[in-house]
Amino acid sequence: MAVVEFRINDLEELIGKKLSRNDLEERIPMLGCPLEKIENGRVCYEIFPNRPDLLSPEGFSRAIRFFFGISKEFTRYKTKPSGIKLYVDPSVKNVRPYVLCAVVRNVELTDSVIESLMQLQEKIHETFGRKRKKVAIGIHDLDKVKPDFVYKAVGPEDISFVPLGYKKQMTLSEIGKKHEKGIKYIHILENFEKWPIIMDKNNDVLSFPPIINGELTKVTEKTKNLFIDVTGINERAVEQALNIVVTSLAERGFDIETVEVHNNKKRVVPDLSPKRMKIRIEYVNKLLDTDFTKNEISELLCKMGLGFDRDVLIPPYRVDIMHEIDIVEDIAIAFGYQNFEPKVPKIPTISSRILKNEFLGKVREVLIGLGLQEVSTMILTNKDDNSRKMGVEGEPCELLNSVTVDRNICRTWLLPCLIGVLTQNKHRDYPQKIFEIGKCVLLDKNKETKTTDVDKLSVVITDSEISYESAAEVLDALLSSFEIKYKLKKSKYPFLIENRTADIVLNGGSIGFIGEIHPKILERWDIEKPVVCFEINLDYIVPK
Amino acid sequence: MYKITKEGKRYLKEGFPETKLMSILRRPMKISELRNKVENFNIALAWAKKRGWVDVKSNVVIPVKKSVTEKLEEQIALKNLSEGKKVEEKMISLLLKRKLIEKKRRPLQVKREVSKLTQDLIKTGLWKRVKLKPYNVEIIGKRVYPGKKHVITYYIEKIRNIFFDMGFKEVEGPLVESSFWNFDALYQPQDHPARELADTFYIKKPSVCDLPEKRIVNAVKIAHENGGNTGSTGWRYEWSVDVAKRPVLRTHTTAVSARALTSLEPPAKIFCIGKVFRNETIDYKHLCELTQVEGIVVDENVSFRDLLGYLKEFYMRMGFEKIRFRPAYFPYTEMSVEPEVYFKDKKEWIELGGAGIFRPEVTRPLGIDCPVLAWGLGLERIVMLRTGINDIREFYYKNDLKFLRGVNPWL
Repeated sequence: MAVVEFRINDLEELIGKKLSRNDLEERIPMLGCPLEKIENGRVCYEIFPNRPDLLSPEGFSRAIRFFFGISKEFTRYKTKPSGIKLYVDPSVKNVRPYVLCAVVRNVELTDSVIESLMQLQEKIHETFGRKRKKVAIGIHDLDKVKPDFVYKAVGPEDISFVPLGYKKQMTLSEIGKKHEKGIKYIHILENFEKWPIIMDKNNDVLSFPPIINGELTKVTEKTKNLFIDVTGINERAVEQALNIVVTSLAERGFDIETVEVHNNKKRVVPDLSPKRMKIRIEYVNKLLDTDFTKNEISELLCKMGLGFDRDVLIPPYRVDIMHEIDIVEDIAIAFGYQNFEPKVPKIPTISSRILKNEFLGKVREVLIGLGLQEVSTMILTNKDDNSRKMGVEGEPCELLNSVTVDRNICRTWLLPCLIGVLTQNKHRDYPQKIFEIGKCVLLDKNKETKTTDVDKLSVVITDSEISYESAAEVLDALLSSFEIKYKLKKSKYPFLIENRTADIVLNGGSIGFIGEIHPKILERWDIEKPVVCFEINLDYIVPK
Repeated sequence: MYKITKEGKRYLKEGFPETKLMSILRRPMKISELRNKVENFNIALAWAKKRGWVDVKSNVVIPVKKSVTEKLEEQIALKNLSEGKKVEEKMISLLLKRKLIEKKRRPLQVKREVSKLTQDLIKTGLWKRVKLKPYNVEIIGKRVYPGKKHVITYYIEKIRNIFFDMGFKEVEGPLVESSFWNFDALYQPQDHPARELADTFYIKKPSVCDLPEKRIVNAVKIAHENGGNTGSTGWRYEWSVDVAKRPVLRTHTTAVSARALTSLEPPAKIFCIGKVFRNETIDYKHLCELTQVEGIVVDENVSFRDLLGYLKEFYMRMGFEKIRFRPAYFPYTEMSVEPEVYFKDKKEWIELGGAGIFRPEVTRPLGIDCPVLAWGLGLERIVMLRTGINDIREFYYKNDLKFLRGVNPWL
């Protein structure tokens, strides 16, 4: 989730309108950017990941100008050739194959322009750029270097340069170890033998993407002309990021110039011409249940900054439009979600219940009738609770990457969870009679997901004095309610007291156990009162 | 009240002594002579004299009245008393004086006081002889705990019933899910941030899932790569089958909806309620497993306005009268909507769940050519807003019996 902060007067200047409280709190969020807060002349909005073009105040204001009807004409960005070339060396193919760039001339970099440029760059890196892995942007003072440029991959020790914020030269591998950005992002390159750099004609390093720029091309208030590079591992994403950055600068009135990128074939970028997409009026009206005319649709599209002649014209910064449906959504937002009349539901279908869930409901009813309290514990647990403390072994479904150390497997049974509940409730009134009906996950090679979910029931009763009988009568009340003819057969489990333990047997097979919990187990769980219990795999008794 | 004495009984049987005296005394007779012939002579003579029937002069009794034929008033009264009839007070005191009757003696015992009415007391009739101690009936009863369902169960039941009332079919799916169903089938590109280790639980054991039939896998692959027949440009990258096979703990029940889409015939309405998982550190705002609710409507003729209509109806049945809709973003829906409901007691609009129409890149590879309306919401959030719980760990993690026993089942 990206939250961006704008200076309200900066927005007002870019939009060309004073923004009222109502504008900020009600109208702007209806474009699809929830308000986070307004504070000290600044406003924060959440920007959805499909709209990185809204991450800069320039791009944000552009959208509001259209949305509020201040801009009424589709923007066509003009570019002219800079004559500058960038050559892509095949050595980058494995590590970071794509690069595109642009030149921006006659810039006036005030504090707020630099601030917004930095914010845009950083937010694109974090979200759209997948923390620089997919896309990284470099912004340089063009006048400090000598075109043309080359993008190539070199060994980590082959080249050294002064990275941004430093005074002395470092090799690429030194930067990876010592520079703050190097430490943070070097993992992106670590598995490659050669790392990418951009150099000028004098072999001066502009950039070591996606890690850090050179100090040489550092942008200051005095910078007049910019060179922008975007590198990455997905060509479309690289192009989209470049378009967002340069159109954002174009909104400030700066001049955009193209660069020839030679990568097998020649490409002239940025290409800021609008994309075209067909839209069927009847498709729009059917999906929205509206009767918009072509003209109305054209007006609504305009509110979203889209053009319309015979096709929809999509500006180069809109990276989210992949399908006609995306345009339909823009039309709906332009019309205003609040202006759609909800329709009374009318699709006639017949409900149907999962039989098993109905049965589980009845089991729950009987147990509640017996005065037991239902609890619901977590499916995620750990091996210590699920098996070791109970004196059993198990092969549970194991998680790979849990951030919580004691939640790294799926439980295979419920009893340890319920004993845990008793430990948590030693200060509460007794007797404590609790049960859980819950899902457990077992490994199962024959299933598509290699696991199977099992619904189990566990009952646990404790008081200062309690015995086997108390569990046996609950079990009998439950099973005989459903006319289940079961038997109890003396058995042995490491967590139950010998000679006070039985298997619950149905049709010759065990469906669970019943007994008194062994005091050595109670000690491990820090419990001082006797506990009786039973557990059943409900899948065995659910009516088929 | 009165009982007749032994003497009274003899008088009743044999007559009064003064009457007997008169029947013998036909002439003046010496006292000494009479004494032998009349029982209770002294009493007989005293009463005969009192009544003026005889005179006594120098030891000789002289009859004044010739004979006594009528019954004495006392005799009648005594008879009546013996038969339980009413008798004048004057006669009673006369009979008492003559010791022919006496007051019945009441048993002199005090009734026993007991606190409990027992089966024994009722059966033996002893309850008649005991006094039941008065209770202080204004004392509030001691707190005992009824068996209750878990608070989440109450809400699941309520929401299940709302879906059934609206004609939805219940479906479910596995907790461990392939990345294919959890992400790829929902058109989430393989480098999507939601798929990162920081958000999603990946699974070490089992380490690989099977994929569904080739036809579906290929259609999804092509939708990602270039849009295929969906009318989309696709994401433009090389889709990896190995990434799709990686098992995860499902991050949303939309994975279940995706599976369901492959086997349903429109028109169809289905819903799913189940656990979902997020790789998050547990604190008062975050829990790594939560319960999600999701409903979908599949029909040739449904539109965005139908989606809003279903949302309005659903949330109204959940008890929210006012609802409004905001634009939102989900990778697999377009339009995407965030419903906000009005909380009367808080006097504010609160975002509750997400909704949208599945993208064609989602539905067409799964064999559905018509719009699919979908919405979902997290159950814990709604329970927290409704009950005022402000620590999400009350669910599943803390299991505080005081809280669970105190839950109000009337939602």
